[in-house]
Amino acid sequence: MTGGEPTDVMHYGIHLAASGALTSLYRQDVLANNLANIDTVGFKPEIVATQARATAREEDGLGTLPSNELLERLGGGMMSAPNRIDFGQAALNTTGNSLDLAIRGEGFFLVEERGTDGGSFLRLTRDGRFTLNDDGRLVMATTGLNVLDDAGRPIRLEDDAGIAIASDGLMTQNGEEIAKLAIVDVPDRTRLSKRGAGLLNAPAEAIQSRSTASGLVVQGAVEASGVSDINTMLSVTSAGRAASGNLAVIGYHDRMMDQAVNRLGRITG
Amino acid sequence: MAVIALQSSSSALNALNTRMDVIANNLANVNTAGFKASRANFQDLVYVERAQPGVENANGDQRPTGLYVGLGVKVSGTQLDFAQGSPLTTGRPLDLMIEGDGFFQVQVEDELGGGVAFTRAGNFTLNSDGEMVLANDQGRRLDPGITLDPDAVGVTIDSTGRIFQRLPGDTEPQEAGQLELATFVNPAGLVQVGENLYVESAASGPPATGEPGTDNRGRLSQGTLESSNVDPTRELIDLIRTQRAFEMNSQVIRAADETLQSVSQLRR
Repeated sequence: MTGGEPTDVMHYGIHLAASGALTSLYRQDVLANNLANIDTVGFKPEIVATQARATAREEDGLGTLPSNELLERLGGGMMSAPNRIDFGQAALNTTGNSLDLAIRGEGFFLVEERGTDGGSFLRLTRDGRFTLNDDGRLVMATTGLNVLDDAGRPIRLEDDAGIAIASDGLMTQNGEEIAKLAIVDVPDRTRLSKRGAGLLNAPAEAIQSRSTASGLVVQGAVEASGVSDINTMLSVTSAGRAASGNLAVIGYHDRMMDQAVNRLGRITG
Repeated sequence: MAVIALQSSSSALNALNTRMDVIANNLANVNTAGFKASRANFQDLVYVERAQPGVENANGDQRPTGLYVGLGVKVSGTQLDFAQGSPLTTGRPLDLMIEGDGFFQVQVEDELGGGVAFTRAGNFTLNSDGEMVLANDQGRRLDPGITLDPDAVGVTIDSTGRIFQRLPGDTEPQEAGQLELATFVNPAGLVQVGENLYVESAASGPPATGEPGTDNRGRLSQGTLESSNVDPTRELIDLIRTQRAFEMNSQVIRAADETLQSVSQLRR
């Protein structure tokens, strides 16, 4: 750009349309993942948010230049906003398995993931498909991670017979108290991020300031995926149409430039 | 890019296909004595990071949360449901049902789980040598072996596994052996090898053997068989759900494909 001349005016709309197309493609990716997990126990769908994008100069805090004022008023198209996880309660499906647990209400199970260097990390999950490992410890059936009690210790059982789990998480085996399951929550859920395998990651300080949650444990049931089939299908369709629409606008710009370059300057028709 | 959407949806089609196979096998075994239903467990795949949380913009504001895209779903494993099947009265003296936890032990080839396999199917019979064997085409011998007199007129097995036989001419039945059951810390970790048999694995832990009725081991009931614990209603509902989820995910593949088509037609 020299001397404040607007040099890229013709292409400006193409970039706005491109930002719309890219964001729609991204939405489609996130929605496809939600729908792929429509039958994953304890899965919480992601809400795709989009936001208007400011111009690059505005984002950098430089203010507008007088020569570009008209265009800059248009903004910079759109971009995807950070995903939010929809932590709404999903339906509970009865399985009858004594080590299938679900949480009704707020809170998460606390599990322990061991790093390769021997360190241990605490993760949260709503996936209550638990089982015993060969050691008799209560673990997640999918990942084998230890499920922790309210004191942060692994839970050990003799075998899987005669286990009763009360709604406050108190586990008894043949009438004898074994442990109390940790049902926890963190102060700020927006800081939770997904780690795959139904696990949620939280920054260390958020995990440290965890508190006991009000959710009730339901034995013999699992929480279904929180994905709504109808809404997701509608959103996938609309994201696809939005992408196609934006791509069509790119096409119009292309044809306009074709006219400008190849026809406008021609002397004989 | 819509390519990720294609992959996520195809991972779902794969996983749902596997679940369909598991459901089909469960339903196929709805009348198999001692059969335990399996379920396919799904888990979400890893997430790729588009933007890290905590990164500052030019104003010094921190991005509060990150931007992630998930990559789909996979089957993390199949889990056996060892719930008790309902009793089926047959009246045959060598049909046994375990009421509670535990497995019968039978002798198998050494390559198969070290020579011992475990089963809930108690449809025993006698072979030509008078040994108690599983009544299937392989004729697996009970372990520890029990041999009955071929001339015995009455065989009684009590709830703790003691076997009595009465020989022609005798008035009192005499004890012919003791059945043992095996339990595991984690029965869901057993490996299924077909023929209603399971073998031990690192995940199941070693077997703890003993007489029926001791240490959480179930008691025996003679003249009954444990029917399959497959619940056809649940399986059929799961089948419908699986099929619909399959259809929806294949629709997303089509939507992503249409988007990609628009992209590829950009350049005329």
